[in-house]
Amino acid sequence: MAGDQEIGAFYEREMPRLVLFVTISTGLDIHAAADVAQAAFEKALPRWPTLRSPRAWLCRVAQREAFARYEAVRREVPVDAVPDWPDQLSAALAAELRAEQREVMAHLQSLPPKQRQVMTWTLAGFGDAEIAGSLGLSADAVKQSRYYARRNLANRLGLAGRGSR
Amino acid sequence: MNEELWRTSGAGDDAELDAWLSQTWEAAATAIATMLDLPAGKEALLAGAPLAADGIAELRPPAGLTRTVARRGRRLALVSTAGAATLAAGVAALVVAGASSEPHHGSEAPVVSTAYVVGRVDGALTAADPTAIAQMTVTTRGPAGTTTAEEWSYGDQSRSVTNSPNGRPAYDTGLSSGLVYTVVSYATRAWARHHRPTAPVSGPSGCGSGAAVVPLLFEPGQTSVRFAASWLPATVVRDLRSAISCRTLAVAGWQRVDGVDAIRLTSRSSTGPGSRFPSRPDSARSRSRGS
Repeated sequence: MAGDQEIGAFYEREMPRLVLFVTISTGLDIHAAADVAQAAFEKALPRWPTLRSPRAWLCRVAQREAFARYEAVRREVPVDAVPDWPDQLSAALAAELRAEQREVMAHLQSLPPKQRQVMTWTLAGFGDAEIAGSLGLSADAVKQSRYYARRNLANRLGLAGRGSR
Repeated sequence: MNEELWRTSGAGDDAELDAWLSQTWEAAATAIATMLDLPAGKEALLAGAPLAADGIAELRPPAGLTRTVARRGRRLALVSTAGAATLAAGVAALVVAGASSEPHHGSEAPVVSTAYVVGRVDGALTAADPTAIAQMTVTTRGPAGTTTAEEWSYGDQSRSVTNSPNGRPAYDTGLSSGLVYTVVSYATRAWARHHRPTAPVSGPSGCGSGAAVVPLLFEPGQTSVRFAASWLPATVVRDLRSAISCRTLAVAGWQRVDGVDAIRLTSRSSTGPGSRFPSRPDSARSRSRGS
């Protein structure tokens, strides 16, 4: 197995990004996203030597886990809401971001599911081939979804007609 | 973000949109990094998920209530970074530093314990805006170790997570809409959901469950589901007052604990079902009604 030091460094670097990826792509709140991300890392650990692209693997597993958890929560719903979740983004995250950044995050989360997923994978730094493979789409479908996502974002952010395609 | 990939994958050339997205993504990732307890998460990961080894992962509590120690830490960080200005009115701190004078022995003679309660709890909770999040930490120290409970309330909802002396979650309660509470006992690997009675369960003149529950807080290692279900942030002040007026707790003086002014309370309670509410002289009852 790769050294603990190496994995630990990877964890510290990638964990926040994975949490962000999960919360934006699936709509889970930050707390649930953090749990999902941690669970994905735990699953990855024994497979670490065989993972060719740990980041992509973690994103795929975390996304699957997030959707499963979302369904479980939707079915059970034993309490109305946890007290510290006043909106989609956690209050704390919202407090950390500037107004325009909160606006961008809100618009990202409000994109249609496929566009949101493609945008999230893109923002996380993955290429078309990886996105297409992970989401089960063709490369053209990825490009198309990203085009519409960008157009939607540009419209919502008031950037339309200024060169965005 | 991988700028090269972004620009070569049909994304267009709107530099302003790219900049907004990129900056937002990085800012959000940075913010999340500050909220997470990364060293603890890394340690748990590399240690082979010790929480699962303890059986906590086998629990099937209601969704939304399972919380690991790491999550509790993150949540605290989230609350603390949510903005002191917006939460100041609703944040209360309750420190109980108790020292039982003798060990707890089931339904034997009353147990005497001493506690120190931060005086500003009352004011903070009383003044709390109902739309604000009230959060407090209750730390109990005693012969069996130190237990910590983190509690939040928001409107008519509340949440409480209590850790055992070894730092593991012992139980977790959530109150929804003021009527339904859900309890998870990690120690017994069980959970339950109850409708809260609209009237006091028992006890004359208001010396009911609330007054009886408070002293139990001072008993380290206490993991009773019944206790946890009754111990809710929104009722802290009322229960403290009730406990004092019912002489379940007595003000024994004032002291500085961990740098804060504290009220020293003395508890005299027993755990026998028939003697949970200590008797008190009529004169004391009259005084408490008049107060």
